[in-house]
Amino acid sequence: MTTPSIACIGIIGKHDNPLHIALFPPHTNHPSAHLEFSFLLNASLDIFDARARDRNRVDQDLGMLQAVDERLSIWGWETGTGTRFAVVVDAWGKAGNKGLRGIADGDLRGAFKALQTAYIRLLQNPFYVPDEHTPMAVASGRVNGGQITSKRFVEEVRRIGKVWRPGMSVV
Amino acid sequence: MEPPSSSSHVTGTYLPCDPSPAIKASNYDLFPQQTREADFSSTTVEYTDPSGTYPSLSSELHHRLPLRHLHWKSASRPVRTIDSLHVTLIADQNLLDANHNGPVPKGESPRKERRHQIPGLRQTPYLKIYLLQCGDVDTYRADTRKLLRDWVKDHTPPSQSSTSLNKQENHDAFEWLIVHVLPASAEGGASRPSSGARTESEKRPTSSRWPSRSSSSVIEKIRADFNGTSKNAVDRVAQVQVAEHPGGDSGRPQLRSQDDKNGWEDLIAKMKSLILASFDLRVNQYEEDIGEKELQRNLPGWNFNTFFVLKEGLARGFESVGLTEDALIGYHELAASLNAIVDGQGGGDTAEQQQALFNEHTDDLIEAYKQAERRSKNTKTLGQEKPLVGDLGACILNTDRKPFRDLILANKISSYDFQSYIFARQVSLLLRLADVGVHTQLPTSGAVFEGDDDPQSDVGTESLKSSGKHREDLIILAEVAQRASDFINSVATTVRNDIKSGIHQSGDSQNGNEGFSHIVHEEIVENLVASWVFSTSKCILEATSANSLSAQLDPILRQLKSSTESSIEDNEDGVGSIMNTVHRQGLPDRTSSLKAPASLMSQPPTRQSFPSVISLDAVRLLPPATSHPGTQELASQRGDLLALTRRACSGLGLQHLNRQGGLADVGLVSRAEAEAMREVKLESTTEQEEKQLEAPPVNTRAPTTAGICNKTLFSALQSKQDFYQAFEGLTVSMLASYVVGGRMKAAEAMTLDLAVTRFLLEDYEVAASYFRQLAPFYAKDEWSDLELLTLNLYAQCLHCVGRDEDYVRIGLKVLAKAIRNRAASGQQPQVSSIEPANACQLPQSAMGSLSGILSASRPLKEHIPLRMDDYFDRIDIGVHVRHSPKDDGFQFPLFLRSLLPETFLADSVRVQILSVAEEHRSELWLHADGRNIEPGTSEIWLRSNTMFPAWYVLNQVTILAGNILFIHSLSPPSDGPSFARSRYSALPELANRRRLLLWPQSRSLEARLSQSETVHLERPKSLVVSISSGWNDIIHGRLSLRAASAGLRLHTAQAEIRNGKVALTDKSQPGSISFRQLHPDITADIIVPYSLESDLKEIVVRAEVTYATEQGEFVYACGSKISTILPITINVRDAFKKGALFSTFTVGTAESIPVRVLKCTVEGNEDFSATSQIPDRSEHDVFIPQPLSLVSRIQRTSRGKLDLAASETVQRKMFLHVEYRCLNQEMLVAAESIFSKALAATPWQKLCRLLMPALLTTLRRRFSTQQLEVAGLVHVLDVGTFDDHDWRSSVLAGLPPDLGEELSRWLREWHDDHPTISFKDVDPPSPRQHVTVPFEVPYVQILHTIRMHPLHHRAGLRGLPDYVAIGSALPLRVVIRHTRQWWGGDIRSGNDGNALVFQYEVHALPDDWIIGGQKKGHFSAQADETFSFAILLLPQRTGHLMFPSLDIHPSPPPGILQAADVGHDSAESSVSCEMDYQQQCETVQVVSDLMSTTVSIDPGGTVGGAWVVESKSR
Repeated sequence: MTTPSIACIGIIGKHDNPLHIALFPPHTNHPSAHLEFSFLLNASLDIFDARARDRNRVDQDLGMLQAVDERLSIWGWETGTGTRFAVVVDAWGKAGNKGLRGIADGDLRGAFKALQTAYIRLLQNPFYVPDEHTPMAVASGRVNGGQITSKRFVEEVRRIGKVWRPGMSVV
Repeated sequence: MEPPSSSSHVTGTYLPCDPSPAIKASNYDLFPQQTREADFSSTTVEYTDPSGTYPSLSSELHHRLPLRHLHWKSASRPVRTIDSLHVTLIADQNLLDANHNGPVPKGESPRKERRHQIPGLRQTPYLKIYLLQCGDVDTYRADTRKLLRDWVKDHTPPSQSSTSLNKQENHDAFEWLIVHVLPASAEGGASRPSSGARTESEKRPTSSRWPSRSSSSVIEKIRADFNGTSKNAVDRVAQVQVAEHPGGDSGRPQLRSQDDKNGWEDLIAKMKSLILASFDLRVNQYEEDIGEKELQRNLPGWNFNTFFVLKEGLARGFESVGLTEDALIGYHELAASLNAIVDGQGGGDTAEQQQALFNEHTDDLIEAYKQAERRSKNTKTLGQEKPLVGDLGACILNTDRKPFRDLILANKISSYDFQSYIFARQVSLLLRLADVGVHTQLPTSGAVFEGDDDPQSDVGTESLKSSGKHREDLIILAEVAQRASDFINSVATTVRNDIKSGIHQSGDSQNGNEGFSHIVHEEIVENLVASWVFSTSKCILEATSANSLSAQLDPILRQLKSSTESSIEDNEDGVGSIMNTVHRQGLPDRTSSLKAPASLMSQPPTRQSFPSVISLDAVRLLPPATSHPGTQELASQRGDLLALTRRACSGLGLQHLNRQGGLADVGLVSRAEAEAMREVKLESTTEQEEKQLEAPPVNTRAPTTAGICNKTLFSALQSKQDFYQAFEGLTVSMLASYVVGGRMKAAEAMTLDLAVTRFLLEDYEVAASYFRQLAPFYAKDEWSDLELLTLNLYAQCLHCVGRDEDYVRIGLKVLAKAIRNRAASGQQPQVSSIEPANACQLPQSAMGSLSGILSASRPLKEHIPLRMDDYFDRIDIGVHVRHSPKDDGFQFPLFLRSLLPETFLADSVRVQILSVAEEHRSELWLHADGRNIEPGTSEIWLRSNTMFPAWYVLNQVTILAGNILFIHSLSPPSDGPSFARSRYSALPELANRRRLLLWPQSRSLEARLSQSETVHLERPKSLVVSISSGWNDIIHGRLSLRAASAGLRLHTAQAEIRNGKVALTDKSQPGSISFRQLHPDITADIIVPYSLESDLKEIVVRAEVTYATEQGEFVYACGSKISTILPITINVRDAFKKGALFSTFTVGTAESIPVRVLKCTVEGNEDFSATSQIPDRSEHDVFIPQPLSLVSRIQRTSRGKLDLAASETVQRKMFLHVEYRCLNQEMLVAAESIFSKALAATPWQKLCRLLMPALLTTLRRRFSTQQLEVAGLVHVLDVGTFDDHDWRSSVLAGLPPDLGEELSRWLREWHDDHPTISFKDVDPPSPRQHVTVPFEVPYVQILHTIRMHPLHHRAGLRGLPDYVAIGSALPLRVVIRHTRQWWGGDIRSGNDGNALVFQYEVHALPDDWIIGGQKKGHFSAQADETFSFAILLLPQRTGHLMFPSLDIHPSPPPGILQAADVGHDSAESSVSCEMDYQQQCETVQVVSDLMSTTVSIDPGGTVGGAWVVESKSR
């Protein structure tokens, strides 16, 4: 029985810069998937902004940002430091089963918390300097691309994306 | 006032409430439908009007409706205020029937019989009114009372009847009210009732509320009869007065009396309270039931439908009294639990349980499917099909299209229907909240969809009309849109599952061709789903369009459309109409399409004035709308809805045309047609593309369009062109929405899609203008993939447009970004190897165009410089030089890793290397032409014919391909003018780079610079440039010399050849000397004079020999520091004698370097002769403390003794020639000779030009004063050890390791064998150096010879006294005599032989002598005339005392003194005197005066001691 799965995880810095984008099957096979998801994530930043402006928001979980179509939906989470996690959920799951439905509101919480834990661990890494992962740093040529290169973090994101199932409270 | 209607149904609202015949005819009419769903916004009040008074009453009543300001107090809720309550008045059917057919027995009503067990679906009246017309009490007593009693009994709500405990009845709880209608005629209406009233009032004055009214008696009676007896009984009786002619003017009610008004007010108040009371009852009942059902939720057999009906009943109750929010909450809860159930159904956990509740499929959908399937079977070809299936999505908001509630009650509803029903209800409530009125069944479709001939598409289309232009609540509209997108996304799945399950149930028996039909089924299902999504979204879009929003959208749309349309019409004729359709569809602006359809659709005046670029700017600059709260949200949500529409469209496009619009197509096109697009000319591309597209890619069967119900969608799928236009239209609408919605990033993405669409439509100009503005947007936040894509497409556009220069620039930028991205992604530890490849998938298409970029760059006028580091990696030079075997050139490799995706031809590769040494900073360019540089690491051998031996580091690499110049420079960019010398001063890191050692081959040309061996102090100094041709047969060459020291001037024009082996041809160019034909193994010395402005110790000269041989042209360069200091110093002291001049030359060392003087001669001239003192072949070593002195006797020659002719002068100039060798030179030559002999026997011979300078440099550095002195004495040079020489850093590091290892072994051995070198007899000897020092014989006019003769009795041998005793005087005769022999013979000397006056003075140290006699005096003498005088010397102390000295000055004659006073200054005035003082070094011994002394020593004496007995004086 297939369940909805994560299609894409995007870690986006507070300057709206992509820190890490991970795709998951079956979308990894599609040639232009990376670009398409990049566009989705980028366009979702507007909604992030709109949600961030909402003063009533107390939770970091922003819920569903946008239902792209019956298959894909974007869910958001914003950490206290402004780093944003966007998860694109594929309702049809890894097998592309068309009959499946989307997920409910709190289903991604576990995944987001796991992502946040991973990100905090990344920040604790003394070799990871957040300031080097900003557009300014990249523009000044100090670093070669603002992407997160920590192997551990990337692995963890990959694991979260693979393992997550709707309703998992701890990923 | 409405006219009295013959119809018995008059409504209080403006809506017609006639039951639809279609619904009446349906099979589901369990009970007759009295109202439509639209009426749920009002409450129903039933009236029973047996006497037909209603028509007279209605106008007055309508005038007071709707009810205003109701306050509902509920136990479980806060007080709700209902501002206005619409009331629908209906007549009692039973009574009507009864009027016709006689009274129906109570309790036998067929309605009651057929009542469904589950309540809540009926719109039963909240209030039943009995309209009583009864003139007087008697009539009342006679008939009316009974009728009333029957009615009341019949209509007593069960809640009030104590007998009935059926709770169900409370769902229909109602109240009753008796209204006593008093007819009042226009003329005398007041009289009749008033009389009656008066009588009544007299009877019951106290209890009547209207004491002045005649009818009070009747009303009192009624009250007494029906109001009950308890105190808190509700007053259910009211009385109003009506005009008899209700058709009267509207002003009449105001003319009524106060009482009359009171009556009406009372009625209204009673209606209010009674309606509220029954409403309260109902709510309580419903809530109770719902709570009960809620508790049973988890029990087996729990039926959601039942729950739903109850809950909806409550919600409808709320709705009917105007509490829309409460109703909404109910529906929201229902929707949520329904979704949960449907999800659960999908999950399958309790599937069997739940399936019992919902039908698996919906008949409509299945019907649509079947219809589509039939169609797909009939006509297979694309394009001939017509969408005849009803559009399901378009009527989604219509809750009347099916008797949903009946289906629910019958448990026959499908989940799709259920969900859409709830959704439609939610939307209608929300729209009501948003103050957008509901307007049914307006034929709007014709206005929105052009030429709509689909009868079904407008069945359910509800158009909404805003009740006021500025009262729309956009926030709620936004919520509608947001809910809609959620709904559409979730229900699309339901639709799909629904149809599928329907097929599986019904379709198995239909055909046997399983595989084929399965595909078709799938396609049809997908078509249906996409079509449903499309239509539904459209429907919602129409419902949510608001005036204020469209006011903001319109200008943007107009601009965008004008740009796209105009360009489309430019490019492709005949598609404008479709675009129009699409645009209008993309802008479902109901209001404007209704009111001013022409103005929006046709804007010919603006079309031309909006070029696309400007319009895009305008979009970007548009401030987010702030005028209306919620505008942003609404626009943004509508944008999302449009996005859904577009995605549905894209999905179908992908299926049918293999096009989905936007980015994905770019991949398709670029992959499939990239080659074609490049090679085929632009005009023919379209055809090509069409052809390729028309061919179905995979399937042999054209995909069916069956199931696409929406006409617009269908027409969009007719061709690729249509599809793109539809897509673009949607994109434009989305863009506009997002701009207004303030979602700039989404808007940018839309712009990109627009650009891509333009690109795919081959409208490259417009696309390029879009792209140009987009690129920085994505670059800003490091969305590099997107930026790359944008740039890539931009580049392709530029290429297609033919803007080569921009194309090249952007294309290269794309390449650089792609490479950088790949590098960055390469850094990431991606687990799967697929991912990076995917990320670069699209850029690959551009990267394939490198050759295109290069060729496009060729026609450009100037080079395009680029940073090489963006395209190449690991740029470095090899550190080991490879010499050419046959000529003087050399090579070394340049290593680099090309990150470019394909091999390209580099027209030239040039490398600049920079020498490390501080003083001779030199740059060398090496080059390689026409190399193919492949992706990946490559090694390019660079060649140079220029040799400047030194250590080098890499400084700059340039690769020129086409007109693209890749530059890799390690030196910091020079900003502003900088001095040449300081240009590299800021290179501290220079030392850290990899070093390259350059040295000439052993047999290559060599040029050495040295100070000329021959120095003539009178002439300019000169350099010697000795050029050894080596193995080169030089055809012609040129020596360039450059002074590198300040103040140094090289006079190359005066250069000459020393040994004549080569001919100089051209010396006219300053600093350059050309020479001809130099055969192999010939050394030519070119002497170049130079001059110095200031006194420099050393000069720096750089020489460059450019020479041409048959192998080509070569350059040898070297720079030398040349010491200008003479290693020797020469001092002269002259001593004149009468016959000769004795010059003493002292040769010393200048720089503490021992010098071996080989020869020293004084060259005489015709007037003077000299004796040479040191002959050849006798060597004298000169050290610092040991200078060499030689005395030369200079005499006048015989010619000089003669008096010269007047014209002649005496030649006084003479020359001293010194030949010498410097010891250090000698040692170096010795070392060189020995070392080269040792080398000659080994393979290291080839390295001699490398090793020798290193050895000599080290030796030279090791020389110290002491060492030189020792070496000068013992003639042995201490070479030092291997380690002293530091070979490793100077030489070995520049060699390949194995070679270096061997060499170091050999060098070590050599050093062990040669700790010292004897340079006693070196062959060849070091060159002798020659200094010619000119000097002049001093010009002396008068030479005095002074002699002193002691006039003493005891003269010694030479006439001098042996001794002089102290105290005795020494008389002395001084004889002075002078000669004018050195005066020369010229007239100007003034030697006329006259006597000259001199003055003399005798000096003596006062301690030595006391001089007696005349110490000073004048005398006059002629030549050779003797003058003598005597003095007396008294010695003052003993010892050898020098004779006093004597000064003689010519005493100027008085005339000359005067002349001198006047200012005449002539040679005569300065007659010079020299003295040959013959007693100069002689001494006189002065002794004491005693000759002898006798000392007596008497030890026996009384005194004791010793004493002088006698002494004898001299």
